[in-house]
Amino acid sequence: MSDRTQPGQHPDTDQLNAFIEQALPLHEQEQTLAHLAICADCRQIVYLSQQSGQGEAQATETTLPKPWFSGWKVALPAAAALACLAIVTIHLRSTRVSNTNNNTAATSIEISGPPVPMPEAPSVPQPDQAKSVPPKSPRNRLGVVSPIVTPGGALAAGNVGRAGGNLQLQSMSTLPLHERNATFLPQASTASASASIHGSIQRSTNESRDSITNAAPAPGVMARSPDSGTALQGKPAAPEARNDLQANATIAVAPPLSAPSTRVAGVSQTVDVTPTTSLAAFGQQQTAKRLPPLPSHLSALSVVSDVSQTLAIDTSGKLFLSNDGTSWQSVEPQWTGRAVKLRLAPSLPQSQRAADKVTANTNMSHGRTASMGGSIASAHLAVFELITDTGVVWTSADGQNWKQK
Amino acid sequence: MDTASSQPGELTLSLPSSRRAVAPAEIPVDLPTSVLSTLPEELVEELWLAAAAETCELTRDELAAALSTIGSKSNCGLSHEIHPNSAQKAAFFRGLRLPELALAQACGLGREVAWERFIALYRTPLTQAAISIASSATLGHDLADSLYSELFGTTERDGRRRSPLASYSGRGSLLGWLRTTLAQRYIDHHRRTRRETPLDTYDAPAPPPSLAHLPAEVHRLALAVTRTLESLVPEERFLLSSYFLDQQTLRQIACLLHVHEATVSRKLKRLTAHLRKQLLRDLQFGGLSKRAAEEALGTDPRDIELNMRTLLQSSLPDTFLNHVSDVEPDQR
Repeated sequence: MSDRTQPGQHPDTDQLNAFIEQALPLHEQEQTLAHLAICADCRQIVYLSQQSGQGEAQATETTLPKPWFSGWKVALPAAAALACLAIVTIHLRSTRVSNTNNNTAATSIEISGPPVPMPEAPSVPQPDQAKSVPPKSPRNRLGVVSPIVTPGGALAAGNVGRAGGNLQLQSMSTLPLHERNATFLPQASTASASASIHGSIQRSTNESRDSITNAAPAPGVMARSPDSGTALQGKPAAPEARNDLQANATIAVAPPLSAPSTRVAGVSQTVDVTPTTSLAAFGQQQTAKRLPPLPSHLSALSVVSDVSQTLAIDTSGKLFLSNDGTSWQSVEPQWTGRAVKLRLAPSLPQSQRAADKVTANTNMSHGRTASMGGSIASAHLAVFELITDTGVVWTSADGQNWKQK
Repeated sequence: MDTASSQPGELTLSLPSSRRAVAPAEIPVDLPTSVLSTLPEELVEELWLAAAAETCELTRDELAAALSTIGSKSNCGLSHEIHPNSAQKAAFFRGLRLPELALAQACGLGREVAWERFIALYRTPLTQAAISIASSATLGHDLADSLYSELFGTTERDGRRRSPLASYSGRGSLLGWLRTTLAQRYIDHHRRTRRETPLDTYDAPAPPPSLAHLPAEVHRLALAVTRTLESLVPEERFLLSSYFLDQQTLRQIACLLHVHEATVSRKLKRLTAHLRKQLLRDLQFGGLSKRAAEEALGTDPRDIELNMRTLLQSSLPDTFLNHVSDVEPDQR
């Protein structure tokens, strides 16, 4: 401290340095701080000295060799966090998938086609809630069907898969169901004026059948066609119809239709099923019947069922026919090439179906649906079609005698 | 502050005409005999051993003289109202950086062994610090070289060499002391070169305007600001001056005060809020309504001809005046 060579009173270098290094006693620290508060020169000295010390420290830090693992100090926690996130994501995903497999089996049916007007019957009371009947027969297990009903109340056979909208129903199967049959039974004479659709679904693999049979029965079905805006409400099918049907699965759907004077039963149709939605959401009663293994011990490539017959092609291209659902008999190939697909097709052209509906009671000819009792709109509504690998279509009404289309 | 000149109280050395090592016996050292008698021999022996003074060719008497000078100057770290007892003295001396103190004292006495060690230890850090302070390698090297010559004792007074190293008390580190000395020399250099600025480019500052011709409201506000700033405690003044006048960063202020940056930020925020409240209160006390006081605070600062630097830097009652008066003129 000097008052001779400096204007005013200033702390000397030693005191300023001790202040920077916090080496001063408290009273001197306060004195120095009080001086620094009013002396810009001493503050500048202090800050310059401090900055030079920090610069040296930084230079020393930069010259120090870093260990090879020093870079991992930042990367390791980030990697650990990412690993934890990935594990949690995988765990949640696997849990969700397992729950989906265990509880639901999604099947969606997409039906497209021109919208069909649905006439209403004001005189007939509509059921409030969908009703379903527990399966009384082991044959009536599974059915996911979208009924297409013409204004006259008759079923547009063979055109079920092209209704005026997309109707997605929930099913339990996660495996593809290529072909299936459905029987539409609008009960015009009943007070509820509901129509019942009984469908049969046969799947091409045994695994799908296993999963279907595990599903629990549900009280009913309710679906809505967006285009037509008509709610399809499940209703118990007619017991006699269900008993007569050789279907592997049944779904009871009661659309709010007017009661026509016709009754349709035993309609076979093909519906593409895509497993996307949940069965439980619809509370649908679904069961499936196990089909016996094919005699060739190969898996079925394509399976199609009529009300009384079931046809199957195995992976080698051989065709098998089952009339009782329990045994298979081989069908001699009458076609050239290899059979790759089976389907059901209407036997009558579209223009004749309206007339068939009017004369429903007189057109039961082939007898496949005659056993259902009651009037049937169209007797020979569908024939089997077999498609070979060359694209040639062969048709058969009984599954044994085939001719080229 | 012309810190380039030697400080009073420094030890005198023989003339540096001969750069050879000066024998300890040849150095006329002014030993405060009165203080020497107060230091017990056991303590001196202990401190001498702890300082490794023998390696610097520093005798016990020379070390004891330096310690006595330091103890007298700082009153052994106690306030000046307290007379230190022997235990307090011993604690103070033991708390010093004795090896660095011995080295500095030996260098101040011109011991060649000490200088060799000093150069080996501090040459490079001193040059780096000078470059860092000057922000220029050339200026830094020049600054370091000039300080070396000064430390060696080229300055003479009354026919004796004087080394600034003798003023090192050992309370802080020797390297920190060297850095602070470098900063002082750099500021002295800057002030000298500023004085040498040609007159045609020199813009003389205008005389401080008086507050008399200001409008009444502005005049009232200026007075309130003056009163409010004068009521600040030293730490608050230091914060405001460092942050707003010196443009120092929060980090630099925090490093100097050994607190966290957030603490400085909080203090500044609280301080500015307190200043605003104080100004409002002062204005309201002066007769303004609350709304008028708030409107007065919204006055354009350019309309208030106040020199904040002058207000903040206005000298308080001499902080070190009493302290200086206690020290003997030789030891200043």
